[in-house]
Amino acid sequence: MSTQPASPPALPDVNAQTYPYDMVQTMLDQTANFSMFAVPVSGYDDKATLTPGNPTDWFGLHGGYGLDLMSDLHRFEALVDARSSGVRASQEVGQATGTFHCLLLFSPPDFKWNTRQAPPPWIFDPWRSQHFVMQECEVTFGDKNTCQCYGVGRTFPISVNGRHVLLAAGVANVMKGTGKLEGREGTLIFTGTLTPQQQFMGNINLRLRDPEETLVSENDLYPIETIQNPDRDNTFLELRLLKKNKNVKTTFGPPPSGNLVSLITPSEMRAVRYSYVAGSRGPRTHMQVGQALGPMSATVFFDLAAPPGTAEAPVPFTTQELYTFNTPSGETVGTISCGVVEGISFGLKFPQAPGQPGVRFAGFGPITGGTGVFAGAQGMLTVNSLIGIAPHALSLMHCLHLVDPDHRWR
Amino acid sequence: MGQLTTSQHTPQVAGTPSPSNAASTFAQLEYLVDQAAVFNTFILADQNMENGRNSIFGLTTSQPLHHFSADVEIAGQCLKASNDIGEAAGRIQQRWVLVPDSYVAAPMRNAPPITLNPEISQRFVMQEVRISFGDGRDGFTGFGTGRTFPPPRGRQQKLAVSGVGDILQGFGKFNGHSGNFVLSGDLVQGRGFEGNLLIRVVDAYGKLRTNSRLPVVRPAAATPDTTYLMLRSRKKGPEQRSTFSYSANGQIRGINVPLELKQLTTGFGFSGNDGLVSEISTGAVIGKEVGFTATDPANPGPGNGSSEAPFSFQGVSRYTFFDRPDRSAGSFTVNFLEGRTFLMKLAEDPSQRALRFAFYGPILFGTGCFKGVRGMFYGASGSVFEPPPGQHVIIHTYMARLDDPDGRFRIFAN
Repeated sequence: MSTQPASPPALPDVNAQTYPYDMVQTMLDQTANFSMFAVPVSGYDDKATLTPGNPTDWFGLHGGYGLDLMSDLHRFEALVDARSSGVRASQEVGQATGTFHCLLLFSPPDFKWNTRQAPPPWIFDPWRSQHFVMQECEVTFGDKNTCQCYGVGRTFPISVNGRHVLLAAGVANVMKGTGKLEGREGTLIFTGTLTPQQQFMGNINLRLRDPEETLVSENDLYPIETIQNPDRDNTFLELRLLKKNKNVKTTFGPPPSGNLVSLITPSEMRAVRYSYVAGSRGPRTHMQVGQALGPMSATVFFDLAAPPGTAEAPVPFTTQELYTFNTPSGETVGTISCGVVEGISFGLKFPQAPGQPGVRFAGFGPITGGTGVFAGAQGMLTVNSLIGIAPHALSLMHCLHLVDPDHRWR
Repeated sequence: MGQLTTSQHTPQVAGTPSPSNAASTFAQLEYLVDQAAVFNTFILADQNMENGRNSIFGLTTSQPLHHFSADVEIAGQCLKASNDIGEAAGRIQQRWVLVPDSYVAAPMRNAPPITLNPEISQRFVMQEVRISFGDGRDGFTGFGTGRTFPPPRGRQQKLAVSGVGDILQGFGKFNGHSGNFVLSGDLVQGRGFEGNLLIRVVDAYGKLRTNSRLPVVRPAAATPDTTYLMLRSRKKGPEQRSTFSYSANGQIRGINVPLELKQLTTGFGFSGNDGLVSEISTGAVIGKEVGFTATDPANPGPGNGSSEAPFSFQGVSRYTFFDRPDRSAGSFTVNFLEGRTFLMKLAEDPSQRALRFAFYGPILFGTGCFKGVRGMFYGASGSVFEPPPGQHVIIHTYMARLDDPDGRFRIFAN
């Protein structure tokens, strides 16, 4: 019998190339990216209910054990610019394009992802960070194009200039679609605030796979028709991240605990304009990538031994991330520390490349620190991503939601 | 005031006998549950913290109890109240200790103290509570728990707090009485607690109540940025049924309770040979309440309903007020975050499962004339509960505490 301790199983080489890096990158980027702004439907709180089929079951009172959210979805474009004077983002909220409806049911912290079962009654407490599930969650463009989602999220109470503010973030998997959205794989993520009427206002990013490019347009879409910004207290930095080139390697970090491993993933941030329209011909999207903004380093924690995530059993993950914003001349103007506290991932397959593994994943978590122009920053990170495994190519759609009543970043 | 009628009515003999006791009709049960005295008091922030301390946590405080009235009426198409703080009529001594969220509070336990963090909502226990009236001979000791509700507000950095308590031991005229108290107000930096203390005392034999009119409160102080609205709710009658709420798998997830809302006026004072007494009058119906409490009466959860281990409950209710018959002037929705239930016997019908309870929670949002409202809602109550479709008798004494710097909900004296 050997006295040598058993050595841990060898970690896979995530940088190996099953298929060429550039090919995998192209496949990962074949997504329709909807960056939207949700504005509560005026007066809806009067009829909001968790139990529309049983109006005398007052479990359904909006605000008690859940929230019946109904928002108009507007076009949204937020181009980031980093200069020595600071980091600023345009915040253009445009014309209404559809609706977002969702029942948030609050849940115990240990309630697991379960698409078939509601959580036990768990009262909404605006002063506590609480978990929730997203049921009957639906994005609708026109009357034909819908996608229905199931997801989870959390509230985050914070204090802003002496005011109690409740942030909410959620991540959901697309379960079903109709019209041009039928049969799509995709992930929805949101971050914003709960208004005094307990409705949601903020950014929703929906990312749908589109290998046949029936949603993605190579051409510019008609311009956004900007309306008065409905949210003067928050700024959203939309980002696209990918590896600077195919020679950038991902490495394993120290294992955190148990079966988990940590993967250290360097990437480069770029400004991006995610545009979409939802006219009579159905939804179309277009992505225009802008200036390089600096490096982002993420350490991802996940169970390497878990089978690929599915709609019924996604694989959880968390991250620790550092965003460093540089001017075009390379001067660092500020950093943001944050991390995903609630992340879900799903196995990803590529019909064009059999055997090429990949992961579709999304999550959110609070901003935990800032330096330079981001000193004192509060807010949220959302990630909505696809990656390849061997090669470890990245296609990341991130949003940094900054609570910004003084317009420091706008 | 002219539309008020006394609530201390003679029990009606009409009505369907209760299934659990053929001798008790709904009306009789309601009469028995309604045998309670109410002491509505106000505590002014008059502490002078030693060594410049800002927090009262960990300190024994002693503050006068003032008479308080918060009578409501529909005025200007919304519910409004006059708020009169009268002369001092008693004293409250107590010591509050901040505790971890996971702490299981009980009267004889020593809580592990934690430090105040005004940025987050924290739990506290109210230990060594002693409330007395007049020269100190009548009163009780008590115990309770509560929470802070940040962030601190305004120039004085007031930190909202609410708590719920239980009478442990009465003395003088409170000897042998059980009951509950609820408080809601602000911690004022360097000056202690300021707010309302509402006390409901079970009074089976009417020793703490009078039918006589007591002197009205003579205003001695004001609460300029806050308005309190006092209410009462009860069933319209046995036909206003409570029902179970079921989850998709058929399990009971709670109880749906509809009630009507009425005006309520209370007062207290010393009346000749009767000594300390309270006066209670209910008025017109001014609205309705619909609510859901997440409890299964057959499985009420941890605790045994005693003072040492009361049952806990939470729930949601919507309060709708009418400016004309059946026309809503506005509503607000309340989440009850902390409720404590105690088992009790009705002296005249000990076979009944009777309860007394107290609770508080934030007003989440309002509609109509209450749009944008912020505040706290709390109360103390009595009940007899038989599982639906059985009788459910319930009588609440409520107080809404509204942030009201502009006086939207205030009736000002001419």
